[in-house]
Amino acid sequence: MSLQSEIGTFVAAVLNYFDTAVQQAAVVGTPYLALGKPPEVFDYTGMIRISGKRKGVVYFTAPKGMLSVMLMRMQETDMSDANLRDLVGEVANTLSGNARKDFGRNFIISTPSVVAGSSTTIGYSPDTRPIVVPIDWRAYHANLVVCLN
Amino acid sequence: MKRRRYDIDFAQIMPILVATMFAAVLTLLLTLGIQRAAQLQSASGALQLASELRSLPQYFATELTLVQRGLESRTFVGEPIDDIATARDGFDKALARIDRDLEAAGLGGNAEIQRIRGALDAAWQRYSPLLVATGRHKGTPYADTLTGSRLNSTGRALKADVDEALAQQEAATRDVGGALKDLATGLQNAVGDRGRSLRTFLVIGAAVAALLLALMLYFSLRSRRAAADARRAERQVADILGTVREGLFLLDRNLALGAVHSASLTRILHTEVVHGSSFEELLRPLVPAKTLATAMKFVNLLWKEKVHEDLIDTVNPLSQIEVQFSRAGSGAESRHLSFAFKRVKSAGGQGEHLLGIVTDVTDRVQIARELEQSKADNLAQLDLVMQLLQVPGAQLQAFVRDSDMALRKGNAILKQPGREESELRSKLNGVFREVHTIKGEAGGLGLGSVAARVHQLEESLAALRERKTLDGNDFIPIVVKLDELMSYLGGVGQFADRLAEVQPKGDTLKSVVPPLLANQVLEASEPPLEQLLAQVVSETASAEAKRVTLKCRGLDAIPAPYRRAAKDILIHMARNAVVHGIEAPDARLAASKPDTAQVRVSFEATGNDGYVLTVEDDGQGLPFERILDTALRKGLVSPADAARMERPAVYGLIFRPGFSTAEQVTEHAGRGVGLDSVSQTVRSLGGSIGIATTDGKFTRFRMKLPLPGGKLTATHAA
Amino acid sequence: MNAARPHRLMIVDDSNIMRRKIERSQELPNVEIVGSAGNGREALELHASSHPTLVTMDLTMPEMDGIECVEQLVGRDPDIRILVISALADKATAIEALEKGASGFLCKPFTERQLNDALVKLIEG
Repeated sequence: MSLQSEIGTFVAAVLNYFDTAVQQAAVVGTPYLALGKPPEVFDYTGMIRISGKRKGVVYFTAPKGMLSVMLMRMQETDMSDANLRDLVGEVANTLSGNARKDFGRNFIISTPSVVAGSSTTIGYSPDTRPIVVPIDWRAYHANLVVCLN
Repeated sequence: MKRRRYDIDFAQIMPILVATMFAAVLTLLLTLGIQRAAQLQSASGALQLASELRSLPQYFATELTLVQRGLESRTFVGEPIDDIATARDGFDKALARIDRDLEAAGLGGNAEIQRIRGALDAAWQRYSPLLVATGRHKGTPYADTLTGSRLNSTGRALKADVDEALAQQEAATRDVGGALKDLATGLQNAVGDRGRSLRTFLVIGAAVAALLLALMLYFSLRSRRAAADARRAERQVADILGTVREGLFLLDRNLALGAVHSASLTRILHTEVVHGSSFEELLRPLVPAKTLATAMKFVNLLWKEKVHEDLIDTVNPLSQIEVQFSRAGSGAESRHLSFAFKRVKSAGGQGEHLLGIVTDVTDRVQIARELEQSKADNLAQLDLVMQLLQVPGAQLQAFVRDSDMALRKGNAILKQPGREESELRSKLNGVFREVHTIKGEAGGLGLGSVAARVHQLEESLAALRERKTLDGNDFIPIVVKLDELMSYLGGVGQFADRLAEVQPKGDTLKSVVPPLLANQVLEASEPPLEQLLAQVVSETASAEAKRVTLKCRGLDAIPAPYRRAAKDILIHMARNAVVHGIEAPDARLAASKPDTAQVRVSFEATGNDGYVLTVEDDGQGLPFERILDTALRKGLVSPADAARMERPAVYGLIFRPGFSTAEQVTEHAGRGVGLDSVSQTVRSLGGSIGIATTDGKFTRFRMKLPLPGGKLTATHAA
Repeated sequence: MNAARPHRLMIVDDSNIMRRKIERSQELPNVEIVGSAGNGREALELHASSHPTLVTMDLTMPEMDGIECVEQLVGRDPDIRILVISALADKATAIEALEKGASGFLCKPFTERQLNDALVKLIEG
């Protein structure tokens, strides 16, 4: 599989999550490369690590406000830190699920993990350029970052 | 074939035949057995009677003697006479019974027995009347007298009959007894024969029945084994169909799907396969209508007796097809499938089915593509090295720097927040412009491989431009290619750095590459400069939607040592002139200028001091304020300095490294890509650059170059 | 008719080079080449005079193209066996020729071996 179709898979997974779980479509912005400095990290980040034929990290990072409104849309009243982590982890889960399904045996995909806080840095290999796919939803802005070599 | 069919039928009929025979034989056997047994019983009855009768002559003799004695002693003789009559009657009846038994025993026609029977009858007929006679006398045989009783007439007649009978007794006993003995013997023999034959018959019959039973068992076992074999075969077929990786299916003459297919078929085709549904419907969602029509024609060809199936493999339109399977939630997946078809000859010799074999060859196709790609890559790499060796290291470094900057600029355009369709289109155009610039420069430097690589990205961008609608997803291929291109140029950059280390300044790697080869490559790959520039200008103009004519003068006169450098400088400057100097046609018209702009390039000798290379456009002139703003923003000058700076000094800023950066994304923000590299090149040749410009009228760059070998100090003259 | 060579081959191709290549390549002992034609019309004339049993047929030719020629030849002799030889630009065209009665297809360019194998299969039916 080409990097292009792999990214397509991840983007489709995130969009599908918005369509089905949140029941309100998100819009994909123009993807770009994070050059020089690491891509922006928002309040909550759900990520999967991939090894095998390709190595790297894929993560969905979103601000707290966005996640809270998403929870509301999902009829959830508890906006606690734990719930916000759950939600972002859920998105990472769909990334992982789709990756497993589509990429098959050539990939080893970690179980999703969640980090909170916009000051965290997410490690990636210095010789790769992360591809940032902006995900816009309502007035909010999240990023899907694919960093695979 | 015929023989085989016979075998099959025979095998099927045999068990039935044997069972029928078995039943028939058994019935026959039982019927005949019962009959024979009854006959035997009758013969035995006759034999017994005959044996019993053998004592009768003696009985008669005794009774007759009793009568005789009785008569002599004048006692009552009625009892023995009655006994004789009864016994004689019994004899008659017994004879009749023997006849019946003989008839029943099937001995009625037996000559020996009948002869004996005849003799018996004759003897009895001779004897019987004598006995009858003894019974014919009525009344008492005595007459009482004083001296006692004496025989009366009746008595005397009786005595005469009795005497007569006794006189014949010996002969009668002999004859009747002999005949009875013979009859008994004959019957015994007959019974023995009958018994033996019955036994033989039963033995043979039982043997035949046993044989038939054995045959029946054999066939039943065989059919059971055949059934077991068939079940096992069925299971094995099911196992094969369940395991085989290929999708196997059968088609009948109507191209309807057969009852069985391999489990893989549904997996490969991502759909349920229904027995009896049409192959055409199965294919319809997978292939375009035209391919479908051709495919159905092709499959139908296989029914044509005349067509040789091995000779039409190559026209199979389904031999390799790319299909899209949509999947819930994750878009579409592209797979490569290969269909093959074989006629299936059944036992009847007719092609009754087509075996369809479908394989997912995606991996194979991808490997083949990757191989091809890597082969092409290797060749491209060799080409690339050859091309890179022709370019001075410093120039190559400048190119890489500029390209990197252009790509960063493109990336920065992508990073901008716009999501609207129109914004996406303007992003697309912006990126296109940056990429196109790199392509032109690569072409200008003779880096065909690099240009081809950049061209791929440009193609993707051009394809997006053609789209009716655009969204962020469509840019994924762009950003991936951008990434690849950055890596690629990174590699070129490393090469350039190494090259710069080993090359003498301003020289190509002629010392490394054998001169002859280097020259050959140079000669072969270099079109005239004027033509090259015309191409660069026209390509840039069309990318920018501007109208430009190029006028060149004296370029043929550029001395050999300067050709390479002049070419790079001119390509750079000419493109910059089109991109930044010249306005869009409507802006020009609005400013009362002809919509077609002019770029003029000239090279002339200036007496003894050297040459002047001029690039001039009749565009909008250098935007003084904006250059100053940018320089301030970039920290190239302090606000205090800026306030004091004269115009020429401000214009000079555009040659400063770092002036143009990836953040400058709009068309008019700056003088664009890499003028610092031009300036570096000029200075490395010992020359200088001068700028003349008037707002809204023109911009002119004059590059003074010393005579080759001569030395001028590197200065900026405004 | 030549008893040793019961199969009579006609070559139909508008290219001289191709015709000669087929002539040179054909090495089956039981095949006699009865002639070559440069287009469909010539092929029909040659068929009338020399009664070939086998034909190699190019598809794109002037005057009368291969498909029409196949149709006419099969109309005259239903038993004639035709091998279409063409560069496979369009599978649909090749299939059309087979529908009209050709028996097989050989893709240009081909090796001598491929041609002979194909002719053997053509003869075997």
